Amino acid sequence: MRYTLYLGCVIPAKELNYELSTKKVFEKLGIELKYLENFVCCGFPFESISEETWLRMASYNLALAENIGNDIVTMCNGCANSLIHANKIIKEDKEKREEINKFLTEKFNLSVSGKLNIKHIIHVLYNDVGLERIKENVKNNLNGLRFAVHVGCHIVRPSSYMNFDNPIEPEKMDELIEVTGAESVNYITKHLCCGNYARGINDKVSITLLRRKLEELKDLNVDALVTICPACYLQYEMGQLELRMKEKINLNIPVLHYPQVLGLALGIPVSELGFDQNKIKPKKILEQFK
Amino acid sequence: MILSLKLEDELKKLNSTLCYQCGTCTGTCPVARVEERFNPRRIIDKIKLYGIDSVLNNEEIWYCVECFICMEKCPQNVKITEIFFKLYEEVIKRGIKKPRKYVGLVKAIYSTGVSTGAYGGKPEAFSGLILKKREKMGLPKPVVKEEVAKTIIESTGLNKILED
Repeated sequence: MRYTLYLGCVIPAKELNYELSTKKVFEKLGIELKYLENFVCCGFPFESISEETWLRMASYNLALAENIGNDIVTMCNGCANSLIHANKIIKEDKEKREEINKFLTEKFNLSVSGKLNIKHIIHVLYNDVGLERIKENVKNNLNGLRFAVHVGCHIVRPSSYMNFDNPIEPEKMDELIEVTGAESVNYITKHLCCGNYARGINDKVSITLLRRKLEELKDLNVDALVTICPACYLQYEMGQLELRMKEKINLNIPVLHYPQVLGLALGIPVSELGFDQNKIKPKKILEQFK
Repeated sequence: MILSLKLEDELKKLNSTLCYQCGTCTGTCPVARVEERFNPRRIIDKIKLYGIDSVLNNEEIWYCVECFICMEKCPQNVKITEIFFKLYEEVIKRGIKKPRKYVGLVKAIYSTGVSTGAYGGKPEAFSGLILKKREKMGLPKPVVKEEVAKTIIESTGLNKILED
C-alpha cells in the first residue's frame, strides 16, 4: 500500500504529535506515505463563503496528486471532506470539470479527472488495513484503559459524499479503539459537535459546547478523549487550557490523537509517538508504558 | 432584485421551498441547544415568506457551525447547511458584512498558501521555531506553493474581502 500524504495546514504547524504518530503507525503496518509537495490549503474554509474559490483550491491539490498517481490520504476531517467533495464533483459533473480544467491548464498547466480515491487515515485503517490485520499486530493489549472517542462532524457528514459509517451515530471509531483491547466508553454527548467552528463568530457558543462534553467526561473518569481531527483536538486541548486560565476550571482530561493510542498497542515506543507535545499529559498511560 | 431572483432559484434547487416547518433542524442543532437566538427553522421560514433579503443582514445566520446534522436529519431533504453557504456567499459578494474570522482566513491563505497563521500573530506558514521542532522530530519541511493560493483567490475576486 502506498499513498500520497496531503498534510494540510494545522497539523504540520501545531500538531506534530499527530503527524509523527501517524507516520510511525503506518510504517509499522507497512504502508508507504509520500508527502505531497507544492500543495496549498485544501480550500475547506472557503466552501461556505466562495464555492468557486474552494473548488479551485481543492482541484489544484487533486491535480498535483493525480500526476503522482497514488491515492491521497489525509489526517484531517476538513481536508478529507473538502477533497472528497471536490473529487466527486469533478468526476460526475462534466461541465464543472471542463470549467476547472480550463482554469488549471491556463494558470498552472495542470488538469484533473477525479481518478483518485481520497481517504482519511481512518478509512485506510478501517477499510484497507482492516480490524483483523490490526488485531494481529497488537503487541500491547490496552485492556484496562478507558477512552471516550470524538469522531467529529465532517468525516461522516454529509453522508451523500462522505459515505462512511452511520452519519448520526458513527460506530467505527469504537471498533478501532476496542481492537486495541481498550474500552470505548459510551456517553451522552458523544456525538456533540466540538464547537471549534464557532470560534471568532460566537466564542460563547464554542466554549459552552466544549464544556458540555468535557464536564460529562470528567464525571465518567476516562483516561483520555481520543480524536481524529486537528480542529477537534485543538478545540478540546487549547479549550481546556483557556478554561483553566480564564475561569479557573480545571478539567485535566488528556486529549490524544487516535494513532497515538494505536501506536501504543502496536508496540511503538512512547518516545516515538509525540506524547511530549500533548499539553495535558495522559499520566496513567505514560506510567504504564514507561 | 435580479440578483436576488437568481439566488432564490438556486435556493429552490436546494429544496428551500419544501420546508414544512417541523423544526427537526432546530431540535437537532448543537448551536440552538446553547444559543437561543439561533433558530434555523425560523431562518428558512423567513426566506420562504419574505425572500432572502430579509435575512442577509441577520447576525445570527453566521452562528451555524457547519456540522451538517440538520441537513442529514431533515425529512424533506432541505439542504439547510448549503442554503446558509449561499447566504454567506451573497453577504460577502454584496459587501454587507466582512466577518472577522473569514477575513483572517483569507488573509492568511492569500499571503502564505495555508491557514496556519490565521489566528493571531503575523501571517506566516511555518515559523523557524516550528521548522526546527519538525527537524528534531524527523519530519520533513512542508513544501507549500503560496503563489497558487494568491492566483486562485484573485481569480474569483475573494481578495476583495481584504480591502477596507
